[in-house]
Formats: sequence, C-alpha cells, structure tokens
Amino acid sequence: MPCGIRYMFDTLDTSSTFSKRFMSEKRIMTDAVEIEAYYRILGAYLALDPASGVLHDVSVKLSGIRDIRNTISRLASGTVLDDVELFEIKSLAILNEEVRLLLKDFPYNSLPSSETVLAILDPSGNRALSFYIYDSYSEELRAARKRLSSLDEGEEHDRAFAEVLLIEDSVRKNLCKSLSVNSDVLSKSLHELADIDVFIAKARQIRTLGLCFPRVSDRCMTVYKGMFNPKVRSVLVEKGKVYVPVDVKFGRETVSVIGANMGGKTVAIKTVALNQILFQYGFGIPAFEAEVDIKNDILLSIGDEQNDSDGLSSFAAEMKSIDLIIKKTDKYGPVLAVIDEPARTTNPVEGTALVEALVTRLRDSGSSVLLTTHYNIKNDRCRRYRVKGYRDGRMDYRLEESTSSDVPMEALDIAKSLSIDTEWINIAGLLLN
Amino acid sequence: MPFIDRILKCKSLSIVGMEKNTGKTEALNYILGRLPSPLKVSVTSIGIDGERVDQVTETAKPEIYLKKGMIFGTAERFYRSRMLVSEVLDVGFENTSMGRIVTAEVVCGGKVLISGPSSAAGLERWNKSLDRYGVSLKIIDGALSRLSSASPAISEAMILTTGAALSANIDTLVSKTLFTVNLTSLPKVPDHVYSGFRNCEGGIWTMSAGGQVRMLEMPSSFSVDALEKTDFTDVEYLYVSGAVTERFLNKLRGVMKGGMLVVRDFTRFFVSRQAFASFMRAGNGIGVMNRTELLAVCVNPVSPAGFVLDSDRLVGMLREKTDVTVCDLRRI
Repeated sequence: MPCGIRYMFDTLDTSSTFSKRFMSEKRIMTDAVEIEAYYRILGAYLALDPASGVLHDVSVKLSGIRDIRNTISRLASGTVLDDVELFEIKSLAILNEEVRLLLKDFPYNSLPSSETVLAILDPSGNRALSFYIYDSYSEELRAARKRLSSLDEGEEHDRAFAEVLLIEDSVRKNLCKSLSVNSDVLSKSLHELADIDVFIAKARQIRTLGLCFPRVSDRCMTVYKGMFNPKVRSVLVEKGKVYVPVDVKFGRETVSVIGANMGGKTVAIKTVALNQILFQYGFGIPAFEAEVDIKNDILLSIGDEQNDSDGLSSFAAEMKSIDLIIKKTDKYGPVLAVIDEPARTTNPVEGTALVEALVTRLRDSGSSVLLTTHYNIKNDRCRRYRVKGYRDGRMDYRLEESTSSDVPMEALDIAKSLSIDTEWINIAGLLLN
Repeated sequence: MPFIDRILKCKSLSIVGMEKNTGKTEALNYILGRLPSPLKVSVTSIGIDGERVDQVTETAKPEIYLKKGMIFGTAERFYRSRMLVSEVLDVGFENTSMGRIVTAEVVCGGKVLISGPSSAAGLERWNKSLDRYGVSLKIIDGALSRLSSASPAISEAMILTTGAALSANIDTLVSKTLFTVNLTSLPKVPDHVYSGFRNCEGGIWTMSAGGQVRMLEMPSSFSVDALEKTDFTDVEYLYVSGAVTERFLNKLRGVMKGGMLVVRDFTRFFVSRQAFASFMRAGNGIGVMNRTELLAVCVNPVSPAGFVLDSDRLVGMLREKTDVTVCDLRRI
C-alpha cells in the first residue's frame, strides 16, 4: 500500500523478526472494545520507565524467540520431535519464565506459566539453555551410555551406540507424549511473547516519532489535528526542510481536496489512509491529536497503475481500480476510500463529469471517501478542503475548508518558480488572458 | 607428535586439503586424538554453497571422531544422523543451503559428519559464538576451493594436506604443493594498509603513497579491460577483495608500476606458478591481509585410483625445498 505503511513497519524495531512477521499476518482490528483494550495495554508499556532496565532486559531476552509454530503443532498432533526441536521448546519455556519474572509487577502480564514444560525438559532444574536426552530420564540409558563410553571405535562401539539410540527413542517418545498435553500453553506463550515484543517496539516508536494515542470515535467522525506523514517528514528533514502538519476532519461522507500542484494534496489523503491502518493495527498515530472512526477496510487508488504486462492503458487501469473500490464500498462498508485524482487520464470535459458523478455515486454509501482533483466539480453536498496554496513565494500546505468549488489557478506561478522554460509559460499565460 | 606442541600454542587452526582424498580426515582425527583432555576444543568445517548441494552427497564429508567435551557445529541434517551422544547448545537462526547450523557438546565420543557455515560471515559468527563456552582451540576443516566464500585462512595456524590424489606424477605433485606452501608465506601488509582496506567490501581498491583509498570502476578481477584505463602512477597498493585470476594477474603485470598487489589471503589465487613468478619478476610485490602460519604439510602417498607413491621419496623431495615440517601420518 503506497501510503507510508512500509516505513512504519520498518522503523518498528522488534527484538525478533518472528514478532514482526506474526504481527503483520494478523487482520486489522474492527471492534471498538478490542481496540480500546489494546491501546490501554500499549499505554501501560509506554508508561514503563525506559531507564529502569526492565524493558532492556526483556528486549534482550525476546531476541531469542524462534518461530516454532510448526514444531508446536506437530507436537500437538502426536509426532515425536528430535533433540533440536526439543531444545527449541525448552528455550521457549525458559525464555517465557524469565520474561514472566521480569514483568511480574506489570499490570497486563498474561504470560502463562511454563513450569510444567520445564519440569519435563529440565529435570535438574538448572535452567541451562541446552538439551539432550539426559541420563536422569532412565537408569537403563545411563548404564548403556556408560558401557558405550568404555568402548573404542569399532563394531562393538557401533552396536552399543545402536542400543543407546533405541533407549533414547523410547524416552523421547514418552517426553513428547507428556509435552503434547502442554502444546496450548506453548502456543499461547509464543504468541504472547511476540505480542510483548511488538508492544515494546510500538511504545519506543511512539517516543521516537512523536506519535499520539488515538481516541475511538463514538460519533462516526474522524478528526486529526497536526497530522503528519512520518516517511515524508523524514525525507524532508534529511534535506533540511520542514514538514507542515495539517488538520482535517470528516464523517461518513465524500470529501474533495483541491489545490495547487505540489501542494501536498496527495500526501494528505495518503496520510489519512495511513493513519486509519495504523489505528486499526494498534500503532501510535502520527498526529498531535486523533479521533478515529473504525472502518471495515481501507481502500486506495493512488498513482500510476498503468501496467504494460496487463495490456491496460492508464485510463483503463485507473477506472478498474476505482470500480473495485465502488464494489467493495457497496459490499463491505463502512470503508475508508482514498482516491487520488480520479479520471485524470482522460479529457477534462468527461473527466469533470466522471468525478462529479463519483461524488454523487458514493455520497450516501455510509463510507468515508476522500478524493483529490484538479477539476471544477460543482457538487454541493460534498465537504471540500483546499490546500492554502502558493502565497508570498512559498507553499502553505495546510488545509482549509472551502465553500467555493473553483479550483485555484496557480499552475503557471508554480511552473515559473521551478524555472521551467519561460517562453512556453509566457505563451500559456497569454492564451489564458 | 611432530607439531602438536605448536598447535597447543594457537587459538585457531585450519586443516586444509589441496585436493579431496589427501588425508584431511586422517590429519584431523590424528590431531583430535592427541589433544590433552582438559583443553576445550571446537570443530567445524566449511560448508558448500547452495547450488553444489549434490556434491555433498556425491563426495560425503569425512566423518570425524570427536571425544567427550568437544564442541562442534554441523548442519541440522547431519546432526540427526550423528553416531555419538551430544547435547544441543544452540541452533543458528540463519538457514544455510544445508539447513541451520547446530552447535553441540559431545557427551559420549563417536563419529559425526561435519558440514558447517559456508559463508565467511557465517563462519566468523559461529566462531565468535563459541567464546561463551570457553573454547581455547577452534579447529576448522577446510579446503582450497572456489565453492565457498569462507576461507580457512581466518585461522592463526594451518596444516596442509597433499598427496597422490593431487597428481600421479610425483614431480607435479611436489611443485604444486610447494607453490601453495610458498603462497602461505606471503607477507602480511603493513598496518596502515590493513586498516585502509579493512572495510572494503567487494571490488578492487587502490591506495596512493599518501594513504588515500579509492575504489576502481571494475566489478571484479574478471573484467580486466578497465585495468588499461587506470593510471597506476600513484598506486602503491592494489587490493582485490575477491579472487585473482590468471588473466587478471597477467594484465596487471603489464600496467602496474612496481606497486604491491594485496589479496585477502593466500587462498584467493587461482593462477599458475608461471604467471605468479612472471608477476614477481616484473618488480611487483604481493601481500596478504590475513596471514596464516603453516605448521606442517601432511602427505598421503595413496591415491584413490589405487596406486601408491614412494612415501620416503615424496617426503624427501618436499623437505629439500621447504623448512616447514613434512610428514606422512601413516608412518609416524
């Protein structure tokens, strides 16, 4: 999704790669109670003092998480695991207990106890991060190994070894039988640890990027104050420029955003889409303040979708993309749909008609639809925003609500500021007058 | 035990075979069998890169006998078919072409197939991870091969194995072996050159008399034409981070003006003795970033094809031309 979500995922520094992958496999949250509960927990992690060392210790431990979902489900189905897999399960159990201990005073510590698993895999109780089928599991095994150690290389050694293997296999089978009863606990432990990793990383990201905690809207409104796009902001900062945050608000209606070229219209609507996704994934929100209306899905039509391999022209690709949005809006609403310059790839006369018609088509859908356009659309039942625009030689990116439907005519001024061929621009100016 | 004492003074050792079936396994088992028990030893071997996986099944890595207390690293699939009792200490996160690397400690001695990391970075990481187990001597089983980027030359010391498998002709065998022996004695570059080229990843780099390091616009030593366009007047050192081919060396000889060619280590040369000698005769120098001390050359006079060379003669011819310890392990 080309709205900056990749940047947010990339700057989320979880201790293990599994945690991030696990998070991205989940669906967005759509239940208000679930979302509120999630942010409460995130708030508690944010409240933990970073200087206390607990967070650091937990993060270090969490870097040892391995993706053993497959191993756990095989255990549950009765398969006998090998030493390497048992080692991984033991590691998970030890990690679980260590993190559980570190977070013992944390209000939302929901890690299960893996003492039962450790009782099976760590008979000596020394919590060593290592494993094999210990002598202590079977006297028969201890004796067989003693005999093996006394023999030199050769046939007798090999025979003695085969005997050791047989006993090991039988011990292993029993171990797995006892363990499989605990596979739910192991599964829960793995998921919870991954969640904790993500919570801690999200809290860190909130501090680093200056994000805010959102409110779940109970009046179907989405209101952002001081909204910014973190990826775009980082690019600007690198160039020594400043990002101008914007304010915007809308309900379940169609919103058109007009304004000068390079005025940040596209970035603004992309950021609205970004923030909706972040909200329903439980991230901090890039804004000073945010009240967000929950949506069933987030749909985008942005950028040049022309795909040579499909044999589609830009226009066809664009139309198909919007068509898909209309269908999904009808079927799965309320959604957030964000459409950048619909019908831009055709003649202005039909284009204007298409955009006006789109506004009418989706106006009463019960979804929030944001679109940008350069066309003069006369639709009066649509909220209108315009970029403040080019004034005093600088671009003011802030949005203001506008009653006029007339698009600003600043293209020539902007072209001049870019030092585009003066002869060409002057001729254009003459044509307009 | 001609060189065991010298081995005990080292922290890391490579066993390198000039060719398969030159007695590398015997040398390794010989050494492992004679190391004193309290010494904490680790063993791994340089694995083979992805596309050559079939080569492993075709020429199975030798089985090594490990004693109680030794730590080893091998691919998961070989760990499963081990013939010893061992405790899993760690499982690598990276998936190599042969699976993940399992690190384990031997509980009851026996044999195991060892195939470890195949990349230079992987090998270094694994070696580093051993520090927490208190390993005093790290042994790497390697080969002079283009098949992997990992080089055995990251060790302090080295044992080279050679033999009839390299050549049926005793003179060819001796001269090829001596060439490699001489390569191992290439000098290490001065400290300022080492630090200058240390972080240069990939490609070819130059250093001027003033110590300035620049990268050449050449992807590798396989594209030699760009050498002609380079101005060598102020080039004191030329560092090739990858392999040096014969074509490259010959071309370089024509354009270099008395500077020094620098390579990572002696295993990066894939050139003939003649090309090498010509390069040196033209007044150029060669240095290495990493130098390994060659402790001994072990000779295996038996060829897999069935014939046996005269061991005394072979050992004698080698001893004539080098001060390095030479021996036939079967005769000790």
